[in-house]
Amino acid sequence: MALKPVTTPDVEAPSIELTIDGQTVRTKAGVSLYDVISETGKIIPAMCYHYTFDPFGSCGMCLVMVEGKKAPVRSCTAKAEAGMVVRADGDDLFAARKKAVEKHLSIHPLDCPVCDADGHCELQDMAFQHGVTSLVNPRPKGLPEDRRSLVLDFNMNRCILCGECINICKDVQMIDALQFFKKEGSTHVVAKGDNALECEFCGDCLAVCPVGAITNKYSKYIYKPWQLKKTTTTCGYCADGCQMQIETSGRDVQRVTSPLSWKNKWGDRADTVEGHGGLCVLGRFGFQYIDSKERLSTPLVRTEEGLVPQPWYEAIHLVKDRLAAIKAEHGPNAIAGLITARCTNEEQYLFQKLMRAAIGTNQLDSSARYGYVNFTRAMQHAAGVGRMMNNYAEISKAKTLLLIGTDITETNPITGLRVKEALRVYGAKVVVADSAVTNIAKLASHPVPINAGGESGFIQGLVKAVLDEDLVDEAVINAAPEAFAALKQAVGRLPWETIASTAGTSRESIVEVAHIYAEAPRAVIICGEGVIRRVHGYESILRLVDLAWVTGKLTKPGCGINALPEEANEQGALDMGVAPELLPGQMPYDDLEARAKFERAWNVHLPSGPQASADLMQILERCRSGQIKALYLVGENPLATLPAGSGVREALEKVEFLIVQDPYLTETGQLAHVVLPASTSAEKDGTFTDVQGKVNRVREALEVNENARPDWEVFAALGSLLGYPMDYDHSNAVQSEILKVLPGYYNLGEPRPVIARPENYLSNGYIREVAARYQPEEGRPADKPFTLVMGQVLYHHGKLSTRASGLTQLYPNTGKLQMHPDDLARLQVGEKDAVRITSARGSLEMWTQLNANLAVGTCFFPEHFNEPAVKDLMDCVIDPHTGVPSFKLTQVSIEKIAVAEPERIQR
Amino acid sequence: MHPTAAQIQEVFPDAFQTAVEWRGDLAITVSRKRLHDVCRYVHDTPNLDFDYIVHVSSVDWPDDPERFEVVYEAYSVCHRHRIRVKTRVPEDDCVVDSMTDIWKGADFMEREVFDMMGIRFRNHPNLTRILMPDDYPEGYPLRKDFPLRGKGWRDTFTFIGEKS
Amino acid sequence: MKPTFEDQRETIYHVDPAHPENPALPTLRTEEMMLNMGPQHPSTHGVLKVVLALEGERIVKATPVLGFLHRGVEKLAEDGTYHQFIPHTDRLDYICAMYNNFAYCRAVEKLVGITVPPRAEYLRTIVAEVQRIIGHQFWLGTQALDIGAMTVFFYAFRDREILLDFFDELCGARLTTSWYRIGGVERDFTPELVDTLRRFVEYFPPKIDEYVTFLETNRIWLSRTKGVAVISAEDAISFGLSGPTLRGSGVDYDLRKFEPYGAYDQCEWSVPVGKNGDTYDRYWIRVEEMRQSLSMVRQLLEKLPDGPIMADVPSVTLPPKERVFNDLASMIQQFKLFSTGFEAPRGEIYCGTEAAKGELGFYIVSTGEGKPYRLKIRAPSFIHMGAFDHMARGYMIADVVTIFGTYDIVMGECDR
Repeated sequence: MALKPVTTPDVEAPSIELTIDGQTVRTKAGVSLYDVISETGKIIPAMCYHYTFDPFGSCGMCLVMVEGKKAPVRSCTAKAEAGMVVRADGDDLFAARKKAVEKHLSIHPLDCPVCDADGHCELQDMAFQHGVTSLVNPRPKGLPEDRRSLVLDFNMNRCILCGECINICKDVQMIDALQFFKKEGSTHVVAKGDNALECEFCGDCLAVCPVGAITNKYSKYIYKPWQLKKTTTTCGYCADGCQMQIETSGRDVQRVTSPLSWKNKWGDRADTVEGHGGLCVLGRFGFQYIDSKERLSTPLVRTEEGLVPQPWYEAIHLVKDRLAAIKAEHGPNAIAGLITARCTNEEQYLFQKLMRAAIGTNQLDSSARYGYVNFTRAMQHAAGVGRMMNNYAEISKAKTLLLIGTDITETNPITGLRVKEALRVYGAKVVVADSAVTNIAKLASHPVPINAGGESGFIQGLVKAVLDEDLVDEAVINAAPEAFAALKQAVGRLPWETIASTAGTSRESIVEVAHIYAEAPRAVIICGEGVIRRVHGYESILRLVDLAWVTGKLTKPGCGINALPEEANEQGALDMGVAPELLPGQMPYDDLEARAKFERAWNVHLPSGPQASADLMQILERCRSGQIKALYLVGENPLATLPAGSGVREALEKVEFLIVQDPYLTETGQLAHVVLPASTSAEKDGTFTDVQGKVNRVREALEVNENARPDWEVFAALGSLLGYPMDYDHSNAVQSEILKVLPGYYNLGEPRPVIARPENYLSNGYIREVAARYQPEEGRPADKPFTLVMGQVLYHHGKLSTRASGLTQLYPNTGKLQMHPDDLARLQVGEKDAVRITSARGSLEMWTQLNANLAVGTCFFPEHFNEPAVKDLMDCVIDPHTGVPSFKLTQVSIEKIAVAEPERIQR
Repeated sequence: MHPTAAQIQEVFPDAFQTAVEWRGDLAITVSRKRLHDVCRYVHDTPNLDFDYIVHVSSVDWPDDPERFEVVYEAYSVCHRHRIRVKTRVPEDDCVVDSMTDIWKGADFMEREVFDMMGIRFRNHPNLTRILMPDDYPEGYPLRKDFPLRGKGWRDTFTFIGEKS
Repeated sequence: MKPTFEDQRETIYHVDPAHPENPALPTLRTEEMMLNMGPQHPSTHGVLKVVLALEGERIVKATPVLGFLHRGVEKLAEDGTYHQFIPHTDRLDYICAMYNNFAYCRAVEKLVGITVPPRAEYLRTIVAEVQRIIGHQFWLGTQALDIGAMTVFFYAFRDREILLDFFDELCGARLTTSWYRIGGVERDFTPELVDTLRRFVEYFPPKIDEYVTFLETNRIWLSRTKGVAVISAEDAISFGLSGPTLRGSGVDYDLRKFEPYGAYDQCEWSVPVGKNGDTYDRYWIRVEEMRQSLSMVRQLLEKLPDGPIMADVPSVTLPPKERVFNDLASMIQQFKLFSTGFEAPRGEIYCGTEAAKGELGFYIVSTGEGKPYRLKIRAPSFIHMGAFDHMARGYMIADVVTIFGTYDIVMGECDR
């Protein structure tokens, strides 16, 4: 239990002694009396209490008798003092608590049969526990339900005014969307200003509400809690690795609940650094993609009439026959494969084994290539580190957090909550460098507006500022003096004006941030899509390593460099070796000893040589050139992801035999020769590796639909059919195999801490490479003054979320370009006007939408939608070191157009 | 301790394990090997004279190493007292001596225990299934790992539809 | 010489096998025949199959095959709360549903340790005895029908209708009643119901005499019941028989006297005990029990005390139904009791009750949750089937239906 003073856990307080029910207890002064009593093992009922936020004292249940006070005292708001004599048991206290329950019950409506909280309601449990059998003067309120918001309904008849929803939104989420409001003669809980609730819809208020006052529209009136089968699994959207319970009845997913709930209200406040158990809108309300009607239920094969359904036996044998024929005629290097990072670790492992051992080619890649590989390659190269360096506890407890190019509350909200906790509870300094005014920037202590695309310049500026201001760690420098000298020389050649103009912020502000970073005892850097999905992403990470190294923060505990992956298992994909340059365990593919070990384990000769290996963009290139005749896409939809300028359509159309394995029929699937129906992460057993390196279990919540199959089964079947026996009767068998080749990988939530070792790099190759990453960047073309950015929004994730009706309801595709009001005013674009947006690749005509949080001169469109195909305006620039394609930012010109035919423009 | 329990403990010190008296019921747990002797003793001894067999049943405790509990409850018509004699058997060796030679009514009752729980009774005159069909293949229904809705046997029945 | 009719008659009737001139009589070849009786059979009182090994008409061995009505009630008990099991008990001995409810509620009350208020005890006992009369009337009618005295069937069922209408008024059902609750009864007697009972108590004794007159002056009845299906007292005790089947053999074991419960010790009545252990004695015991039940009902109706009909233990007993839909606290209480159940103490009990058929017992093992961990039903009909083979040997096929009747077997209870 939380033995901390009511607010900040780190505050020192004198130790005191008091007596509880005759037992002497030692605790700290100022701690809530309720926590002290809970520490002794005695749980007093309390309805408005939750360990994640400060006690509120509204329900009146936690009554105890304190010597010297006549009336019973609410122990949650009472502070422990030395020498207190407390009695927590007794018939009088039981009667007093019973009276409190009766008071709540007497204004409560007779809704149990229709209430969604029936069976999971604290008021019911309290009433039953205290033997309340009749109410003297029942006066239910008779208020109408507040159904104005898109997701959450507020039923004020049932509300017991405990304030848990308001407190958790204010204290933990720091969004503060709800308030008490007096109207119609009683107190309501409403959104701020009594408007319809429009917030992030994380659902924490829904989870902690002890009664059925807050219900969610997507699961209303459909079920009773005990009728549902609950399966604990890991969310399949982003990489935060949140545990959730999927509640199903048969093959319907009825709702999703979190470990955070009013039932789990006792816990140690200090443990919230590792997470508070909540979910975000994607996990909680975006589950409709699992049992959607649009799911593929049978394999499809292309004939003259198009794609026709075929039974599995015919389809898989067709795949095997064609692949075998192509391999026989053109060799194994005519076949390539791409897999999504939403597949489990076991499936990633089997996929690379299928491609390398059964088919015999090293032309494979995963969707981690779209950005995260920039981070892991740079960190492996410079420091021998293959994943994020810090876990949630370290992020929460950092003294300084440097967030560069990440709209963290939109992309990884739960990691974002750690940043919020660092800010609120541990008093950290949070620097947010972003072009838009993001939600985290509004809360940060040091928001630094920079140019869109100016992140790499900003990082260069930080290194230069550290060197200029001599904020270096002497001991570290003296261990590698030649490297330091080379760095100083490289950075010295870069003028401040160039840096400031590229970054879009002044030298003074960069110097200030450098001071904040260097002077913190524990400093954590988190970057996101703004760094790793841009050109020079690889170099930016290496520059961050430079920064951390010279300030002595690379190897210091509690410090580190982190970049957030996008999809749920990007870390796992790389750990399982799904990249042409990697073997399982992130061993380099060129490491002959490692390769020999796997050849022995798999009893096969692994393909070698540059002709046999290709990453994502090289695979597409070889498809265009005709070398690759068969392409196996698992969960990947390159046609909808990559811009037209990357040549993806030509590549896919040229391929002789295209196999697409996906739960849905995607745009790429429309071009395929064989479409195999796959299962979602809720329908299989396996594991994901999250941002902290924890391996989390994914469990089967419902049976896979009709004819769809989990991906690992298809891989095993194909491998066996192609002559390489892959016999697994359950995904656990794959896990046993992985354990043999990667002992200790399944860390059961206790990953080994990451230790950076830059020594090897500093003495080999550093001096050669450092100069190249401190070059001035090219300026922008004058005729294209606007920066078009495509990015993620909170309510969506990749393209998968567009299949969830709950999420598309919350954030539909408006088809409008988001622009700053000043820009719109300057271009004299009104509501009825449209614009033409032109890049080097083409132009589009679109309507516009106001977004005052953007930077002036920037325009934004969510990357999840392709109507209109804004992505086709982008250039696709491939990183020469890592092969990562960047296509999320480009320079455009915007002009207002007269719209003769408004219907012509997509709405 | 209840005098009956004390008496049994005196005569069978090695077999006697526990005696519990709760809500007026006396339940004695003995070891499996001497169960038959204990039952013979309580039946024959004049001051005990448990001649009326009330029921024979079994309880499944899947988490315990000795998974099954076999319960014999007997009553004395002339002395008007009751006793419950229990024993535990492990799953891989769930055999108990049959009491049909002591109480004739144990015949059908032990068959039911065999049918529902799978415990065998040595020297039983006719140990076959009694409530389920003789060739029922799916196991023993009252075990805790047997699902309430069965294992699909009912789906194998042919149903007569309206059209046929 | 061609034999004349007179000669033939002589041949048939007056042949002396010892006379040397008579032809040798053909030897009769006998073999054991297996005859399958049931499960579809009007006299087996339910779905019961008996495989008879016959030598001629004599039964050599009778093997009952049970399980046609097995519904897995004991397994179902583990899946619901204690309150939810009460309707299941109706369907055990479906002729005497009230008594099954009574037996079960008593067992749970013993487990939880609550006492039922006096008025509830009286009501329970009165209704239980009325149920016993109903059960015995059913038995009498069907046994007589099987043996051939059809008129008694109609007469018994005519009088039974009055009582079934009484049940209908009382709790809404004639057969599957579920009127008892854990801690009391569901609703009270209305003055009309008390009136009905009083009138029945006056009306019925001459009717019993009527049945008796029909049967006891019937030579066929007497010869088909006297000396048929005899079982000795030791065998009966060893088999675990109970109720009228045991008392017919001279053992006066009646749980209502040995371990009094309800209001049985508040009225004067005696236990009929037989002498010979044959069908006639058991028939006579049941008829006499009807008379005794009637006397008990009359006495208890006079002494009926006022008071509550349900024990006041809110964590276990259900709230009254009118309150449930009008008062939130009662709604919550009802809901919690049915969804999670009340917390029964850890332990195990056995509680036996003297039902119409015999000793109906419930052995309940509880691990402290709202659902029973193991609920075993000690059903008298099942136990009696165990002794069927013993009782039937040596008798003729026609006696099999008599034996069924005298055991008073109901397959619902036997197979559960």
